[in-house]
Amino acid sequence: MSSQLVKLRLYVAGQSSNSHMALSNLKEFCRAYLPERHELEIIDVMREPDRALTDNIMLTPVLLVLSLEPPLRLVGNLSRPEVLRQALGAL
Amino acid sequence: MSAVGIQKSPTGIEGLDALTRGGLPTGRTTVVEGGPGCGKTIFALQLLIHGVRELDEPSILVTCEEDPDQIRTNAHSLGWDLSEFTEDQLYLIDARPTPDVAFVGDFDLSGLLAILTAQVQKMGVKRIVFDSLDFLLGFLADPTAVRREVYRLHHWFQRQEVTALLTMKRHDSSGPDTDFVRFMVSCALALEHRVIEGVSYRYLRVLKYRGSSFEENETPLSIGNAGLEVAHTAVHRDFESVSDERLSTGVQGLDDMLEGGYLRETSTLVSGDPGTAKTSLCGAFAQAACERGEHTLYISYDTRGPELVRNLASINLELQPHIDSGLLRIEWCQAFEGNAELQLMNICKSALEHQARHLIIDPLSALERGGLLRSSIERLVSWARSERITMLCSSLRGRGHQGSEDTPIEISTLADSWIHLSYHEQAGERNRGLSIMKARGTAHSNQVRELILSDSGISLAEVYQAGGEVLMGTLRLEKEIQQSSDEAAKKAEFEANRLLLVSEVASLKAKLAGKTAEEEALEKSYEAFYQKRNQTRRDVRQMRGGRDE
Repeated sequence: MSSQLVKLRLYVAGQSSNSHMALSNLKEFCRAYLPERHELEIIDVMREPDRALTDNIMLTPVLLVLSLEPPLRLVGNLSRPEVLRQALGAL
Repeated sequence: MSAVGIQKSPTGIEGLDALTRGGLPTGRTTVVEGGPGCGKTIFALQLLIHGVRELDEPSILVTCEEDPDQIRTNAHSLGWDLSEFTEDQLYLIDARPTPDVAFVGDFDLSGLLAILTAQVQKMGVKRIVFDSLDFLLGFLADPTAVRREVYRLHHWFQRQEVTALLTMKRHDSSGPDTDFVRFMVSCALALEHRVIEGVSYRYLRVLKYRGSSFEENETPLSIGNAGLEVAHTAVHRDFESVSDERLSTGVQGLDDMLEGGYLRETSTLVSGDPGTAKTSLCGAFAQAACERGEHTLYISYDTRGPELVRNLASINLELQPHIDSGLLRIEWCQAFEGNAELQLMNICKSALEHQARHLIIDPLSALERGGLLRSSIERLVSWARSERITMLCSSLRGRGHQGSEDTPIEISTLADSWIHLSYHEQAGERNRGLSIMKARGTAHSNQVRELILSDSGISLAEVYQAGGEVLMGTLRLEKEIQQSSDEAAKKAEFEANRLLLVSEVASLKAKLAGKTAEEEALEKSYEAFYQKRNQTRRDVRQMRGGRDE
């Protein structure tokens, strides 16, 4: 893996269980595979529904990998880290 | 919750609002399900557009399946220009997952509901549609997730108190299990599309409606130029006043048979083979109605208006002046256009538009090609009565039933009166016969009459019974002539006898006069004789010197 900074944005819906799981799964993943080289922005669509509308976030949670072109969009609670790893393999 | 307090939101689909006695439950959720091409999206659009345009209710359409541009185009083809509404009136949300999306684990609809919550508050939304729900739920991994998200939606709807409509494909084994949605919502409707013998039938059925009574039967549905139409014609229940007014049939002889004519606000059927003058009777009734100054709608299948007018003019029925005055409207229809339900709906609409008091459908049997059902005719008959329209329909006799007088699909049992026209072949000619098969409320003559068309009009003639056979045409005329020559002979005989007696009386009178004269002469001669005798006696006495006594 390179040392490039990975920009991530996670859309969550308040304290819903899937959102909660996604956040903890992502944090764990970052600790394991992207230590010190990731930037995570968290957006709560309950607080910022307009943002959800403009970014087209209908299903939650959603992880956007902004470093990829085009940005990668992953929907779900990220319960399978291997899929995430595969998706981020290029970085 | 009290059944009395339920409020309803009209859908703008006239027949459906009548069927559900007001529309969909306000502030509650309705599901409309059906197979592909049943009109679910059109239903959804119609509900929203009616709300925005007529009731000033801001609305949201959440599209989960179709491209919003596609929806705009489809709406346009139905005459609805969605661009006439502002985003504050009608808001389209594209909830389709982007094609590049990858699914990693379980997810939910919270994002969408967060967006909708904000939008509902901002716009003051009253109506919301999810089209289609199963598409949205189709991305969910397992049935448990489906169920959970449906409950999430349900809770959300309850909190928002918007009138919600979810469209849903008919459940099959491939889609998500959405049967339970039906149990959860307040109102469930099913749209159905069937093709039987090449004819397309559409139906709508109300499966449930919490807190409200509803019509449970399937009701015909059509997708017309302006969206869905449900063939539920509101039938006014007020049948208390029944007319006993007789309306001239336009044929003197038939009026006589029917105690003055057809009863107002009833339906009459004229059946018969081609060429038995069904159209002539229809034309005669139209003319009579217009002469009374009453609006009449004449639906002519297969024969164009001008052609019909020309044909009827040949038997002295002049319809053109009534068309010119606006009393008579002739509409030419082609039976192969669309299904029977749609055509009947259009006929009813036309009749109301024209404010027709009389409706003539010539022939009603043409609609069989479009799949005319008994129930459609029942509706037509009861609709006509409730609109106080007098109806006259012609019908071809059913084929393959030589000798019997049945008419297809038992129109005859539904009509109040039934006149049958037939051909009678005798002595090398065909003549038209008319008989009244049934006439509710009338002590009608059950004798067959001969129907005669001539350039002076239509007339009926009494027929003769001879050896159990009715005589028509030339045979009838011969019989008439024969009978009238018999009469002449009798009359001559009487005259001769009378003249004989007169002359006898005259001769006797002459004789009497002769005898009287004779008698007088005799009397005179007797007097003369007597005088003479006395004179002679006196003379004799004087001669003898006697005195007079």
